[in-house]
Amino acid sequence: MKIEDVIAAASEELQVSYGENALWFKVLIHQAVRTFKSANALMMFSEKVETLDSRIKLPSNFIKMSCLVDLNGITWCEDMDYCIQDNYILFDSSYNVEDGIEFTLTYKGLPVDEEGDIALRDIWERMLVSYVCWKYTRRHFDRYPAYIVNDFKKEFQLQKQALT
Amino acid sequence: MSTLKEIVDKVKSNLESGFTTDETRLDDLFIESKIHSARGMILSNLVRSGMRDRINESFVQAINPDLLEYDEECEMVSFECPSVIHLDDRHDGFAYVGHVSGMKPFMRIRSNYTALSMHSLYQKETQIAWDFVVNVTGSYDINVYKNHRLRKILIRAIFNNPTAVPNYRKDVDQYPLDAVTENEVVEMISVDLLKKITVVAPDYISDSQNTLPRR
Repeated sequence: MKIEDVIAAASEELQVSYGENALWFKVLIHQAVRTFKSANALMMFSEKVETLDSRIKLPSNFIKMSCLVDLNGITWCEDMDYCIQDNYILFDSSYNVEDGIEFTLTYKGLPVDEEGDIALRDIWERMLVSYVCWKYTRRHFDRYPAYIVNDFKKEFQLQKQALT
Repeated sequence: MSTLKEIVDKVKSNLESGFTTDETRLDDLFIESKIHSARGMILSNLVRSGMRDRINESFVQAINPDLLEYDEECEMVSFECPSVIHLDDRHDGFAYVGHVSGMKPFMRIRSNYTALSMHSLYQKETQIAWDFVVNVTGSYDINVYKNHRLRKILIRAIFNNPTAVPNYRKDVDQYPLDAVTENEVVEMISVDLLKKITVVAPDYISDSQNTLPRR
């Protein structure tokens, strides 16, 4: 399903304008998906990457490293040969890794669509809508009683737990 | 539903105890500006007191704004837009800004002074976004981003001055108010103006009579 479907459903649930809140809701949905590290949600990916400025940029759907292998078949070890910081693989400076060296990166990540955006599964809809509603009602606390805020929070937690 | 002229006449009629004549010292434009303000005040109070449900389509006006300029480099198109009402600290009067079909709203970049445009998600965003800004001449524009070829949009909003909307005809078009609010507006202005036009002679002498002091 598309991210717009979740935004539309959340806007309807809250009875608020789609256009006014779409960007913020998009940010919230990305937050919820990125922190949803359930084994069921993640998929294994493998792709060729190249070094640039002694580092490699991680794919946008990257969650967890599995292994990094160079063209000679040698596996590089995390925290010894390289570390991960700010969506980049940074190599130990003592290796003097040059630009353009190819590696095979195998990692666990979120499923993506043809355009490289994170693909949402249909069964996540209720979890994501309740997360957006929880965050929205918490921000507009003067318009919603506490039990509504907690209700959305509880629904999100239960849905997340059920999908884990 | 009434036209603006009819509402002005109702206010005048209230002030003159039911008679409607052309002989009044209150200018129509002055009463019209009072009507715009009273409408804004009532709408704002409805939102602040949690009665948003009472705000409905009767208050909304739709326009196809004129294209002002387009900037291919910034992927931005500007449209002229009359000033929009401010309901509370988080909401203004925009109901829809988007495709002319009325079915595809564009994303708003920010409301009030938030800065979601700084988020990397916005930088990567490919969908059309818009922003309502005041320009250096003091007029208001709608800037539409991410599609510099856009030439027509539809805006549906509650405007501060409904008569400032392009092609609005005071004598023919209905004033954007529902029947309940119209009565509130008329009463609010009538009471306010009555206070101003009723001059009571100062009675300083405590003798149970309306006695004016000698000068």
